[in-house]
Amino acid sequence: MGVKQFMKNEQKTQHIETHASIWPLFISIGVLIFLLGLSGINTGSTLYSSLFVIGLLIFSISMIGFGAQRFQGPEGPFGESWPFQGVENMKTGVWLFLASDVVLFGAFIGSAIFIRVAYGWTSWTPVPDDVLPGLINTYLLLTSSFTVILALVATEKKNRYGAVAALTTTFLLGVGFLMNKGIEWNHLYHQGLWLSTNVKTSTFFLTTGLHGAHVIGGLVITLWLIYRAWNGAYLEDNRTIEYFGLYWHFVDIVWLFLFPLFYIL
Amino acid sequence: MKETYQTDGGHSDGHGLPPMYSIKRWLVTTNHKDIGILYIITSLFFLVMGGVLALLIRLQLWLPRDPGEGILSAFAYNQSVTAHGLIMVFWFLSPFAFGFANYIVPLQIGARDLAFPRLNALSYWLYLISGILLGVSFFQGGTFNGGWTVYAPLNLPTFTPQIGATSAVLALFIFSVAITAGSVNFLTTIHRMRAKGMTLLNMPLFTWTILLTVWMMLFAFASLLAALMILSSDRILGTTYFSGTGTQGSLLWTHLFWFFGHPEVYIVFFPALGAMAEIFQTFTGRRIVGRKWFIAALVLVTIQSFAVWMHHMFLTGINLEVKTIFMITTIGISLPFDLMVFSLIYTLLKGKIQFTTPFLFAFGGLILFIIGGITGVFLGAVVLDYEFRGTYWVVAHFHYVMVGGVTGLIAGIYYWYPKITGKMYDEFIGKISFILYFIGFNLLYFPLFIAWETPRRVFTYHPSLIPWHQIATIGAFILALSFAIMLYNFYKSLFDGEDAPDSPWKYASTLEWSLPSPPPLENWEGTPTYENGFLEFLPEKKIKTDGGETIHEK
Repeated sequence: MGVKQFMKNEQKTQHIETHASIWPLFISIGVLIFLLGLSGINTGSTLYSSLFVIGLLIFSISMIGFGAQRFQGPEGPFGESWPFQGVENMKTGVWLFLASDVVLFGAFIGSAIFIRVAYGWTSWTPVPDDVLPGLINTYLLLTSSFTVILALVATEKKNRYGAVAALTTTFLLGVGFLMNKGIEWNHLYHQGLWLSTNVKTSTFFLTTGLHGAHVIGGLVITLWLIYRAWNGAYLEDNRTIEYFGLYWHFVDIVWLFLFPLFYIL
Repeated sequence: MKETYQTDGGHSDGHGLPPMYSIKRWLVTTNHKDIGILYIITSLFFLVMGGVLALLIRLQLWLPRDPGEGILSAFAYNQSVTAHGLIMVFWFLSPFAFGFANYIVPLQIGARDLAFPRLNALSYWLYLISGILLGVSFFQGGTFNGGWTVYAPLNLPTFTPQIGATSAVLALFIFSVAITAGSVNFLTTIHRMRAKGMTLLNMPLFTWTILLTVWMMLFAFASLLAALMILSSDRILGTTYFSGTGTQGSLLWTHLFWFFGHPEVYIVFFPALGAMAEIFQTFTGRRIVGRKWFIAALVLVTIQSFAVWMHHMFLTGINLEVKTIFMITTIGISLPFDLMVFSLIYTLLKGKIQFTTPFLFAFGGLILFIIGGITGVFLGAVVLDYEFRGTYWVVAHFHYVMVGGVTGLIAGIYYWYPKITGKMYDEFIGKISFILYFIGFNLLYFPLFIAWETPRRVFTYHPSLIPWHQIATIGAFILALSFAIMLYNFYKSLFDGEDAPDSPWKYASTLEWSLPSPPPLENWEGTPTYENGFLEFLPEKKIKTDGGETIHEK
């Protein structure tokens, strides 16, 4: 055995895998209680509302525990990885998740188009009377995608504060997106337009709402990244920021489909 | 170095993992083998739950009755039919197969664990709580009662106002989330973490079928997820997707559901097919005939499975041209299956067969699948489907296919039982269970072809069909008995079975059989490799720490 092979083997045995975590169980218990509450939330009973809140709390705390736990899974290099030799596990996983998310949004957008065709394509006008909030939001999201890249560049230059600043900008732009959307929805609500008003508003609020949920999820991750970057993470290994960027760009691209569909056409 | 293995895999210093007899172990474990066992046991529990519902249905159908007569009320009957379908398709079949997938796939490809072990544990627990939520839904004014396909408009609160119906939808939703996480995990593992020399073409057939299953899951369950999110929103938030445009809303549901639903048939059947292929090879002592073509056929089915969904919708207003296209793709998808069936049969002809219990189940599964496949072609033809849709022909057909798949998976549980538990099952009781299973199965489902004019989902039928329905009910109890005997066999053998050697099967050729039964926590001492064309374990140097102690030894 060559020296190189020996060194490689030595490195491998030093790597110790973890086999235990309580958080998956706790997360699931939280989800169960949350969904039980959700099932009867419309009854207005305190039991269901409190289950809803308690479940959400357990879920959130467990997610933080899950994220904070140091967990060592199997690490490469592995024997055969075709066709993903150059794409490490986490990156492969993120791409696969995004592929599935494409179908999810595809089904939502497809449903909206299907319903519009059933309704009569031309007798359908966009729900928001003003295109401007949507346009502003498009620019906000595009810019926030750009600042994620700035964060990546900053970590490559070992610039800790640069990374924190770029990520914070991303976060603020995302919050701006949501606030702008909140103002818009509030405005529509006072015009008497809400989820259950008619099938047109149903598609508008639910599809952009699903997108908004993706934005909120992204912002939670961003907060986490800011916290970690502040403590000096990612300067040696910025892959996490790169993978978050993949997700964030995806959310951005989805908006580029939703904006014309629900604001212009 | 074999002596240093802990053959029960239960050493307490397993990197912070408590021993196997500790309950805590099973709450915190992220190891693929432990989670595989959890999946298998949980899914068997749901098998019993769905099976009891099926027996209730069969008892009610002993005679054609008016609503309120017999042991089930009309509402209870509809709940039973719906929950039986949902539990068997979602909470039993796939998770049962994924118990094996969890346990066996990393062993077959030479990996230490799945790519994301914690995510794997999360998938399992979400699966479990989704099943618990479905169980709870029975007590929230009754579970969903609109059929397992959850068709609109029956899925709307106007027709299913009980809270339990919403819970059932949410249960299905979180189940889909668990499946999506699992798919990502398995895809990453199989594509990235194979031993050296194990190229895709060299992969064992069971791993191949799981790989293609998870590819289908990744996309199919995303469509179901969208459907369920929209449905939950219609039920809870008050959107009007499925009611706002009249019948078109119902059509939208069928598109979303069957875009998932047809690949789901192959998602359920593929792992069984993979297990059958492994078992045929092992017990004929011969490599499968036309292996490359077998794999090509699997890949073809995987792709084509996304282009056949509208054959479930021949009775809707879709125009005839589109229906014809989907008839062609549907009949066409039976061709690769023919190839696989012939390849399995030729393997039998060319090899020397050992009639063990797993082989009998695998062979039985093949016969049942052939009958199920042929009767399915009738349904794929538009004109015949006009006649057969909504009758017991459909019920009989898909039970032959789906429960035919279960037969293959039972073959799998007998086949891998020695590897997982380290004990041999009782061969004699195993064969008895097969005979009862095969007789019970055919007594149960074959008469339904003859009594095909019975309307589906309804608890009354023409009195001339009574004898056939009574035979079916008797068959149902024989089938249930065979499961009871099987579970007894597994339970008993756990304590007084003989110790299993590394490989109890003479001609088993896949990697899992080169390990002790059961395998140690981290599977391999060295690094498995096929680089030189055969299996070797590259020695892994024990790393000396400052104190001169070794890490892996106790």
